[in-house]
Amino acid sequence: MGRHLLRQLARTAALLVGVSMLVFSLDSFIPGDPAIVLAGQNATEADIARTREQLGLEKPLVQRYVDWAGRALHGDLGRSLFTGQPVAMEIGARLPVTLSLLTLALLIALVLGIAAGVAAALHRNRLPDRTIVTAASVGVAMPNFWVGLLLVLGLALALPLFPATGYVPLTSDPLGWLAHLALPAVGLSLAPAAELTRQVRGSVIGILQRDFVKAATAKGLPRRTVIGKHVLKNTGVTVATVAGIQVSVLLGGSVVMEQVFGLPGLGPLVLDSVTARDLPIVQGIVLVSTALILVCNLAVELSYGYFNPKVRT
Amino acid sequence: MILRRGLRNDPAFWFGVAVLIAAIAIAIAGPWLTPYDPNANNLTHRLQSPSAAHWFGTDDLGRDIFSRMLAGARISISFPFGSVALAIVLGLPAGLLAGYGGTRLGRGLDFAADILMSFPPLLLAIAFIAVRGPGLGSAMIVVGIIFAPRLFRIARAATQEVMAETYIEAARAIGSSPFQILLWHVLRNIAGPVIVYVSFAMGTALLIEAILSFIGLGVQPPAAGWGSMLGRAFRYLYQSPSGIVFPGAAIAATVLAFNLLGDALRDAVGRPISPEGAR
Repeated sequence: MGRHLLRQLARTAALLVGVSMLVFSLDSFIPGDPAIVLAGQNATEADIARTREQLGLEKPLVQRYVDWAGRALHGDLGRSLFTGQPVAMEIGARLPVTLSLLTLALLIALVLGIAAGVAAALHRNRLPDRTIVTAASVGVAMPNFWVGLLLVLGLALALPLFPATGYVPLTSDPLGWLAHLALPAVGLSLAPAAELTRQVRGSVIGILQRDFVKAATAKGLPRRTVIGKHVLKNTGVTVATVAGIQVSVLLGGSVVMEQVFGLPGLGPLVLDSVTARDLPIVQGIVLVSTALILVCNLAVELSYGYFNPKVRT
Repeated sequence: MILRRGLRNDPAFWFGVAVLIAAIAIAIAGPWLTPYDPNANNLTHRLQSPSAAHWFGTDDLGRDIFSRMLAGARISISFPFGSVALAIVLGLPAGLLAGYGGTRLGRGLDFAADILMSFPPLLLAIAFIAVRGPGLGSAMIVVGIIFAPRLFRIARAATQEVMAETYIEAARAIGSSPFQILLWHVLRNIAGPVIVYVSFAMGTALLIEAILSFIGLGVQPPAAGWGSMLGRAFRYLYQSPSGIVFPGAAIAATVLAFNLLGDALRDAVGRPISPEGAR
C-alpha cells in the first residue's frame, strides 16, 4: 500500500505541475501583445505599461513561471486586473457556493444512479430494466442547463415550490440553503446519474454471474445480504471510477447552472472575467478547479485498494 | 462497413440513424424550408405561444422560432463534424505512432494527454475562449483539443492490441514498411473502436457547443444555432416558455441519436469502450 500511495502521490504532483504550466502560459495564446489586449480598448500608454508590469511580461518566461508558481504555492494567485482584489480572496468567497452545489448534485447522482443501476440489473431485460435503460439514455442526452430551465418553468414558475434564483448560506438558514440549491443540483445530477446507472447496471450484471455470488446464494444467505454485502461492494470500483469522471463534468456544468439560477459561485465570476478579459481570475479558477479534480482522481485511485484488495501492491 | 445481424435488428440503431439523417437533411435544406424569413422582425407578434401560424411560437423580436430552428440546424449539426474531425487529425496519428513506436514516445504523449484530460472540459473551453476571444471558430478548435487526447488514448490502446497479432509479424517479415503496416493493417483494424468513440464524441461536442453558445461564448449574433436561441429565450423565460422548450428538445434528440448510434456500434464491435463524459 505504501508504494502504491507514493507512486500515486508523485503522479498527482507531476500532473499538477504540468497543469499549472499550461494555465500559466495561457497569456501567450493571446493574439498580439497581451498587455495591449488585456489593458482594454481605451487604455492609455500608462495603463498598458502598468498591465505589463503587473503581469511581469518583461521578464523571461521561465522566471515568470517560477515566480508565479512560488507565489501560488503560498496561496497568492495574483490580483484581478479590474477590481485589484486578490484572486485567491475572490475565489475563496465563492468557492463554498460551488462546492455546496457540487456535493449535493454528486450525492443525488450517486443515490439515483446506484439504486436505478442495481434495480435494472436485478430485473434484466424485463420492463423495469427497459424503462430505466431508456430513461438513462435520454438523461445523458439532455443539456443540463436545459433541464435546469425546465425545472424553473415547472417547479418555480408554474408551481411555485422552489425559488427560481438566489442563494442563502448553509450556516444562516439550512432549509433555505437546500431550497435554493435543490433545482440546480437536480438539474446537474441527471446526466451523471444516468451515466452511473448504465455503468452500475453493467457491472452488477457481470458480478451476478460470478462464482462467489452463486456460492453465497448456495450456502443459504438471504438475497438481501448477497446483494447488499457481496454485490454492492464489488461495484465499488465502477462507482468510484464513474463518480471521479463525473466530478469533472459536474464542475463544468456548475458554471452554467449557477448562471441560470443566479447562484453567486465560481461560474458567474469566471464568465464575467472572460467577458472582461480578466485573465488572472480565469487562470486562478481553472487552476483551483483542476487541482480539485486531481485530488478527487487521487482519492478514486486510492479507493480501489479498499474495494479490491488485489490492487494493493 | 457491412451491417452485422445484431445491428440490423437493433431498433435503437435505426432510431439513431433516422434522426441523424433527418437532422443532416434539415441542416442542408433548412434555409429553403422555412415558412418565414428566420431573421425578419415582427414586433407586433413578440413572444407568442405556439399557434397554427407559428408552430413553435415567436421570439423576443417576433421572429418565427420554427424557421429559426430550421435555419440554425446548419450550425448545430456541422459543429460536431468540424470539431471531431480536428480531434481525429490531432489524436489519431499520435495514437497510432505511440501504439506502434517505442515506449518512451508513448509515455511522453500519454503524460501530455493526462494533463489535458485533468482539466474540467468546459473550463478548458472557457479558458481558451478567454484568450482567443468568443466565436464559433474558437469553440470548434477547443472542442477538438478536448477530444484529441481521449481519441489518442483509444487509438493507442487499440494499436497496441493489434501490434501483438501474428499478421503484423508476418507483414514485417515480408518487408512491409512501418508506414504500410500502419496504414494497411493497423488502421483498418482499429477503425471499430475509433468509430464508436467518434459517435459519442459528436453528441458531446454538440452539447458543448450548445452550452458555450448559451452563455454567449460560441455562435455570435446575428447567426444563431439551437444553443444560442436558448440563450436568448432565457432572458424572456418569464414571458414565454416556448422559446426554451423546442430548441432544447432538438438538441436532446440529436445528442440521443448520436449516443444510440454509438451504443449500437459498440455492441456490434463487441469491445467495451466507455464514452468518457466531457461536458
